[in-house]
Amino acid sequence: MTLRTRLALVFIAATLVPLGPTIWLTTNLFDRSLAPVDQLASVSRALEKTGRQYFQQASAQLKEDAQAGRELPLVFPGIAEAQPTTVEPAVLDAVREFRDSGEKELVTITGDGDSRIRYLVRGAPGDPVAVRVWERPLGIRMADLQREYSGARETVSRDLRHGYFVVWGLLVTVIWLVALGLVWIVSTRFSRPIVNLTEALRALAGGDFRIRVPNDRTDEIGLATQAFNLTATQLEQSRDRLVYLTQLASWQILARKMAHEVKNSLTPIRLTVEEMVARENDAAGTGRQAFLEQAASIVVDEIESLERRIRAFSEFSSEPPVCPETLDLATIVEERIAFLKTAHPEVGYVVEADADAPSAMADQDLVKGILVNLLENAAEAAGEGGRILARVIRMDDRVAIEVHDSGPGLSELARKSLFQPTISFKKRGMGLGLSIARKSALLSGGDILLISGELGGAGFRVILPAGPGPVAIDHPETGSAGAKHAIAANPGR
Amino acid sequence: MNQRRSRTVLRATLAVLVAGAAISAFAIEYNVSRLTARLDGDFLHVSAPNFSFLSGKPLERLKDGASVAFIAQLTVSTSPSYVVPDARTVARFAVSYAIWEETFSVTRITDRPEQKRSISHLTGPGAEAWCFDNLAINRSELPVDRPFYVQLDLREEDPRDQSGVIGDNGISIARMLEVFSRPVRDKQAYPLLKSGPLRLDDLQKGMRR
Repeated sequence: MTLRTRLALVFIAATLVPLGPTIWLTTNLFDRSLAPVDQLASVSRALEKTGRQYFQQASAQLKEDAQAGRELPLVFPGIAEAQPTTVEPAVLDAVREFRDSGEKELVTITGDGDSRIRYLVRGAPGDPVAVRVWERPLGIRMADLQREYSGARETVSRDLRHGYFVVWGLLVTVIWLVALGLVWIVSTRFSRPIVNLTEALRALAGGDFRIRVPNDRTDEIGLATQAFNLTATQLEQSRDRLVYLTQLASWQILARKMAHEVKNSLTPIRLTVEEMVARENDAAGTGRQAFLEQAASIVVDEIESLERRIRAFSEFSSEPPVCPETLDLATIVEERIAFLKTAHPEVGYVVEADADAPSAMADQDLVKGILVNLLENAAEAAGEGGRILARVIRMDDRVAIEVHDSGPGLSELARKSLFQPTISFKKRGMGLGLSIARKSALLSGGDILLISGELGGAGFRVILPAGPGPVAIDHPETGSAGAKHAIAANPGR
Repeated sequence: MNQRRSRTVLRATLAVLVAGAAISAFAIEYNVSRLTARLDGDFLHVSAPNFSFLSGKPLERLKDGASVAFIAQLTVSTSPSYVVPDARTVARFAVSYAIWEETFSVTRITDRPEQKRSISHLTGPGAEAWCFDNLAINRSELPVDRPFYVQLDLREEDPRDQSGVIGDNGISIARMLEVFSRPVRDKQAYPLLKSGPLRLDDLQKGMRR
């Protein structure tokens, strides 16, 4: 789980856990704050009842006073031309509407803010179509009362609890989602450089010393990134220096060895030539022919030695194309040993091959070169009366050739620098043989390992990629195919 | 034997009662949804003596001091199940209630100010009758030689249809609270009032009498 997801989950947990108590608290507060609405319902009903009673009492009082003659009416005769001229148009409209309604009497509220009460009666003494109007102040503005009542009833009719909850829920959800989005953005901003740093570290561990992390921050992450970039730069510089120094050291060793080897050959040549000049100045004729032949032989030998060394260096530096093919390693080993027997008849040879040993997939010339080198070394190390064991074995999905000898073995120093070029611990040879052999094994997709020798001397294992299938072995020595067998060469030695 | 007889009598009684109830329900429904049409001058007017729309939830809201708007559509067609009527008139009425005087006021809402009419100090039936009187179809639009059907569709207008969460001043908490606090109102369902088949001649005769 990424750091960003963790941060988002922490935020969700931290905000959702208190949600239960928050809802409970909010519900309680809403209920308490909405309690006055119930009171408002009863108060509005009381207001309605009181206002109506007040109007009815005022109406009854006006009617009573009108009938008792305690208040004089405004009379609107039936004849249109005899209408009072000083009354307001609104009164005339009310009278006209009253006439049209056909009612005998009507009590209504009128005036500014419904602050007056008006009583209209059809008929007057001597004029049955006349309309008499009584009007007096009410003392209160009934319109204001009605407006307050309507507002109160409107509030009461609303489901405020539902409204508060929906609005609260909507706002909380929106705020929460916005906060979650911000947390996501911030955590992305924090985790991105860490992810970049981790990827860069992985690349650095993989050997990419040029990797750098872009950095424009000044906080702790920025400092860490800056430190990483600095470390990577230093590592790259160190690597470059190390490579250069290693190359330089190799060249120095090569130069030293070459100088030494060339000097080794040049010295006898120079001495021989000097001797030839000295003898030329001495009494001529005495054994001159024999000396010249010997001197010429020395010079030619040393020149050939120099040629061999130069050829060896040339082979070491060359990289011929690799042509892998399916190889029967046991056959190749037997063939190499047959050649070796001619040069080293004093050594006894044994060849073994596992019955289930697979074929190898490698370049035949490279494999032969490896075997020649290892077997030659083994024969030289084994010496007179020594023994060599060559074995072909299966190693999981690979195949290996082991070469053991009965020689004196390798010293600790020799083991450490065995495969390094130009270092030779033999009386003969250039010291490039094992380097070339290991290079050939690596080019074939395998390797050469130094193992514990089974015959008391050194032991080497050449590992090679296995071929497509096992090799059917049918050797005359054993007469059986596929069985583990041993071939004895010079068994009497 | 007696038991079987009494069972038969019981079943017959139950059947008669069920049939009577069904007929009564049909009669009530028929009576309520029955529209009476008459010619008054050059206009066809309707009335529904057994129908009251100032009742139930609308009346409650009126008595709470709110105004309630109704929209009425009177149609004339030569077929009882029409798609496009032969003649049609639509009117909107705003009804309010004077709490202290306990009377109704009605205003016919129209786009043209000269046609706007209102009346006050009416009883409930009076207000309903005034609404019906202000809903008329011109005689010239009625089919002369064919029988026709008159139909009145009356509905209460929902004030919520005219306002949303976003007001003129944008979104505000007070506005949201107002919108989401509105009670869920079931619209008053009114029956479709019908009359017919009618003939113009019959209506003219009725007018002369």
